[in-house]
Amino acid sequence: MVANTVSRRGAFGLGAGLAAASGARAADPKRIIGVIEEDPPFMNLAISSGISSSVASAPVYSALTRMDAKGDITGDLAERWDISPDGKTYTFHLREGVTWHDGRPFTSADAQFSLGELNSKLNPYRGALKSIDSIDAPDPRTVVLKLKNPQASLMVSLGNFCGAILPKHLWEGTDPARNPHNKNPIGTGPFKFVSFSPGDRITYAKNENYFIPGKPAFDELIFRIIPDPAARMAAFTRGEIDMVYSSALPATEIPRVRRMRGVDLRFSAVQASSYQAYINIRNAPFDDVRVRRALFHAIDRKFVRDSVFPGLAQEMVGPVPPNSPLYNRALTDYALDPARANALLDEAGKPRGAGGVRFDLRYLFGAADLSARKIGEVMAQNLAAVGIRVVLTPLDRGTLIQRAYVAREFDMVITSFALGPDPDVGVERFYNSNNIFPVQAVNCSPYVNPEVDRLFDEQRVQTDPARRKAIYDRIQEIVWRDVPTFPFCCYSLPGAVRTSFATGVFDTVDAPSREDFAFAAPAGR
Amino acid sequence: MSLTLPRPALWRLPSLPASTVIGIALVAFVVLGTLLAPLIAPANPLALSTDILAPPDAAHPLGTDDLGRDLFSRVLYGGRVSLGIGLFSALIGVTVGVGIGLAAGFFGGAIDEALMRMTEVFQVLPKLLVAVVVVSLLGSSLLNEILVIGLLSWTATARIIRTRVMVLREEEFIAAAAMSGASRTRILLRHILPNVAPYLMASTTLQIAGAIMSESFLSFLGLGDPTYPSWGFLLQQGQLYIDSAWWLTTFPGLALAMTIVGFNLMGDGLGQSRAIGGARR
Amino acid sequence: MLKLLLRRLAMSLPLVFAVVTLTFFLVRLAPGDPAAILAGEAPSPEFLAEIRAEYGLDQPQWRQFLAYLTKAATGDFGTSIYLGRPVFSVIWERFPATVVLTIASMVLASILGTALGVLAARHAGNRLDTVISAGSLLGYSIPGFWIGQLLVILFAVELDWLPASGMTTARVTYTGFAHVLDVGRHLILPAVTLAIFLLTMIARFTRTAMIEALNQDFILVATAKGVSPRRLLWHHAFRNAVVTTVTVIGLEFGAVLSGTVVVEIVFGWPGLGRVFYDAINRRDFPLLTGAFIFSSVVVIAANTVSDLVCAALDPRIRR
Repeated sequence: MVANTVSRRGAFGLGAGLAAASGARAADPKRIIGVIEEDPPFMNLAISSGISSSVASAPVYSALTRMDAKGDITGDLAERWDISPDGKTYTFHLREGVTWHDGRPFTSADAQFSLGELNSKLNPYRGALKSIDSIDAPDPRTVVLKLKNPQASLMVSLGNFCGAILPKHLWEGTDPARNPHNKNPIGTGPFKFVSFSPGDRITYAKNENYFIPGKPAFDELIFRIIPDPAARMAAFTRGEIDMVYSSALPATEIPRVRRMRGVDLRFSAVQASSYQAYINIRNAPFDDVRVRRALFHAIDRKFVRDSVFPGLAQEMVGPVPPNSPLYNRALTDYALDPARANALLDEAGKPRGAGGVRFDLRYLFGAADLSARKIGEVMAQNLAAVGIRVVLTPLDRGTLIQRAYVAREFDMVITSFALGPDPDVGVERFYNSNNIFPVQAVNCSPYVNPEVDRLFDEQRVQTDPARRKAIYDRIQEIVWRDVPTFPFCCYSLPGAVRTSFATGVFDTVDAPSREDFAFAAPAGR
Repeated sequence: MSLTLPRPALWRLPSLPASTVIGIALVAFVVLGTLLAPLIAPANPLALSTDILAPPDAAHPLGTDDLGRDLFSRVLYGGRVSLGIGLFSALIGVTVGVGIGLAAGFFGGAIDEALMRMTEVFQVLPKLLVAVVVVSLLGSSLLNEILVIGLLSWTATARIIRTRVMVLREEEFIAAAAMSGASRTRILLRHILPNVAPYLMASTTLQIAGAIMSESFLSFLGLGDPTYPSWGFLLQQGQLYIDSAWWLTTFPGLALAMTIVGFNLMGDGLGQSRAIGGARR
Repeated sequence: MLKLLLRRLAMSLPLVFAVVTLTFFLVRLAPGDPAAILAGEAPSPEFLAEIRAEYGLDQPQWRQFLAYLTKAATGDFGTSIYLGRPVFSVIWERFPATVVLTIASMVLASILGTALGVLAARHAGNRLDTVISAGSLLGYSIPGFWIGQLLVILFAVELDWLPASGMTTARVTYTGFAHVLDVGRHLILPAVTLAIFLLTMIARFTRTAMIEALNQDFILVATAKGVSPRRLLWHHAFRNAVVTTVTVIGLEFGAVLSGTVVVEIVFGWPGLGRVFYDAINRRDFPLLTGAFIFSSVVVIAANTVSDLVCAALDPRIRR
């Protein structure tokens, strides 16, 4: 599933991380080899959102800013920036002497064009840029954003998934969907795109003119394309590839990778991913909140955590991941209590019928998503105990989108989603009623609660972090009470690198960090 | 006028070659195991436990899987699914194949021509690829798997039956029956069908083997029905653990291979191998 | 011979048409909106409509079909929805890898299969025959993907002799003969895996054909005349074996192509088999139908060639 590309942010992170990869000690440190799961259809971060596209274009592009290990914003193409006291004017001062891979100079006009004409209009997450009123380029080194209202999460969005800067001279006046540079990307990032051999590999060469001197440390970067998880892990075990991360590293492999010698396993400190199911709350009997709560009392989320995501995941209490500064620690979890679940179901007027079955639950998931399938198998056992018969329905991607998100023929549909780095980006999309569309990764339950909508709007313009947190605490309470979704667990994105071939791959320039693993969220398939 | 027709060879028990006996024994062993699953299986094949990825021991003779389920029980019950898919799709395939083969061979002429052209189309299709397309489009369910595998595996049977019928048609006793005023349907059902029966036994047996293999192919591509885990499904689920928890792939794989060997030996013996050697995929 | 060729070609065209029709309607039977897949994660409704219009997905099915047929006749299978490139070029660029794989495995299977079949026939009823027969029985009784994965674990991961996946080494770029060697090393495991099924079929059929041939009257006469058994075997019977092998390859070519899907997934081989699976997963209609028709045409062609070769080798087959 392509469902969670919020973490495209990390895309820039990895580019910079690779750029910084320095202490390679192995015999031949010149080439570093990563792996992705499928052929990317595009290599354009501004208009396409697939995992493979994001990963493949990450080393090529830069943004104005990026996020460091601690989740703080640091400079990328922008050296520094000022934010006006009213929070409505952002002035970015750009680096000198940056050139595009084709040799043309990078100027503020490129940033103006990329944000205004590409990201604001075509990016799947363009909603995150909707506060922007105007973008000006008063001189070649300055970009000024004027906002309609303050937006707490704007810098996160710009630095991550909504801020890729593309060359104006190659995109202006073209049809973005057909621009040949979707497949031959030109950016300002640490690596230049060289070639794409479908089904096999993508090759990049070092950008000799990268704006951080001495970087990147590698002469060449290669992404192998290996769709089968067993084949991918065999290649990694054998050292044919040096790094494997996020969705390319299956959760079930974590214990084994942990035991491998010469392998550095790390987890993103900033980015959380989750396995979360939408509950179809327009459908009986799931329109009844008691029935939904019964699910929480009946399903053993600890067992899911320990068996499906061994040593990787945490249970989730509420919609916001626990590693977020906005997480509400005061929420109480639904206890595993089948008796309670039975009572709730009886109370909701769903008595057991023939064979002790109360009703069926259609659980939809991607046929290739091993974790989702295992979760379903656990759920089927847990729910059978309270009289709910789970109908496991594995579907190919196309059918899944059609059935679940267009036709809404489901009771629960599960996907992996990135929830961060800021809940405005990763969490709000599931609960705000202005985000109900027949597509995936939006508010698909669909959940309509005017109070929650109002609170989301209130916190967005709130510049005082404490007050913003208070509003978010309230949102979490309400959502956790109404439970329109079922968050099974969340985890930090993992990444593994063979230290014999490269060290510091995932360290950023400024501080040793793990956040570059946030590169891309699990594809959920 | 009464006629003594040659009895079909079906019920004559010839001295079977050793390989056939081995085949029958293997199949009997597997069938018995799956039939008696409720008595033999130590646990519910779906029951979870915290005993995750436990290697084989006294409590779990074949170990447990990544959700703590008893593998021995899963293999026993998985056999029901695999054998069921094999049997039912083979029945569909053989039924269709017999119908088409009989019609083509018996009526000949334009009907034969049309049916054989159709057979050729089906023969040329890369069948497993068609199966993958159909199942992934219509959804992974036992019924879909059985239907698609069955409906794609009739061509060999049709050809064999057609050839046999064409030979039989020329034989005296058929001509005699026709002269005695028996209707064509009667001749077809009473005289020709019993005489091709031995071929059907062999054909069905070989197709069961083929269907179980086809199902494992679908399972490998993630198209198995998770509600009814077959051997192929178990094998696919164990893939990621192929070296860390060897038992997860080894035992379902052995069960599958043993069964297919059994059916093939049995089918070869029944059909005297050469006559229906092409009856596989 | 020419007549046979023309006959076979005349038969192939309706076959191709049937395959085109079947596949076109087959993939459209089930629900699934290809535009939603192309558009990615959260597309706007306008973008979806635009994509539908662009790919003709908003037209009635019969018009889509007519348009498709017209284009297919000129070798134009449309544009891959997901990859945004002409289907034919996607297939064509991946085809060579599959050709290399299938040819390597067919050569392997033909040589080994024939040798084993001849050996078994010569020692029919002996222990060697039993061993060969049992081995070939096992060969097609074990799912290919399992064999492949076991080979990876044994020869790549444990013994570290051969690469685990891909077609070339990514660590170093080889050129010239070193490149050929490199591809060869990567080819061994996938080709062996793919060859096993075909090999066992060839061994079985060759054995049967050889036993039959050796029992024929002319052989008995020749033996009676004092022709040495070895000479007999090679001279008179070998032709039979070749015909058998060619026939089996022709008959089983569809199975071999299906086998490449599995092998290419297990070994990360960048061929057509994986295009096929990716296309199904993404509901990429043009790519799926294109890949399928292409595969079918290849199978039909293989069938035809196999028939013609057999006819050339064995005049009795000519009609």
